[in-house]
Amino acid sequence: MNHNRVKQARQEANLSQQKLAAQVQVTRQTISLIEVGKYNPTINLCIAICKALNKRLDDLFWPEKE
Amino acid sequence: MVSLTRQKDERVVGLENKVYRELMYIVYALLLASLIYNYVQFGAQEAFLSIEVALLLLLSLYSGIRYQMMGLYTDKAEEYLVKKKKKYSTFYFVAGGLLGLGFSFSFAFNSAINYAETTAQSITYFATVFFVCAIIYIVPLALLTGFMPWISERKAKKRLQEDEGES
Repeated sequence: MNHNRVKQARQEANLSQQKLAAQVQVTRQTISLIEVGKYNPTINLCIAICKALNKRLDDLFWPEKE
Repeated sequence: MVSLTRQKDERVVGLENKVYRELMYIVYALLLASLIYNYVQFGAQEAFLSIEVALLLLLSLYSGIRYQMMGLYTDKAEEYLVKKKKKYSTFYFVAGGLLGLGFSFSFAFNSAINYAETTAQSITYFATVFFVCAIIYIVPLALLTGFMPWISERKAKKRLQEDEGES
């Protein structure tokens, strides 16, 4: 399971899960699962979320330490 | 460049694919169960000329062709070589051989039980039919099931060598 700051970044951008989901064309549930670390998005989706939230990839996503 | 126009949710697609895969296993299991029932109820000839056999063969053939078209055999062979240090084709050769062995036992038992009149005759029929069926089924089935994985294994080894050569 990878770590992410999607929730914090989304809240800073004043977006609901539904609005972010609509922007990156996934369901609200997918955004929710990404935020709690229960779903690992593909690189395309990671990039799309970063663009929607105006952040860099390593600002939002990083692997868990081994 | 990331393009997400008219794209389905990847998680939903992944979950749907998981359901389709489970559905496929259920269909295979039902066909096999029906085939076994036909064999027990109506005998070998009825069972093996049935639509279940045709469907099983067609589904397996389609699966093999799609695997080959997508390069999945080569990818899986490469994965086996790198992660498990085992030969990908060995499993398939053995599986094919075991399938042939199963067929041989099945026909041999059928002959011994249905056509022999004495115990000595049963043993003779069993041994003869088993020996002949083993020649007919074990090696050809082993080769048939193991051939594509073996070819893919050679391609995978070549790809790995080329990759090592580049770095």
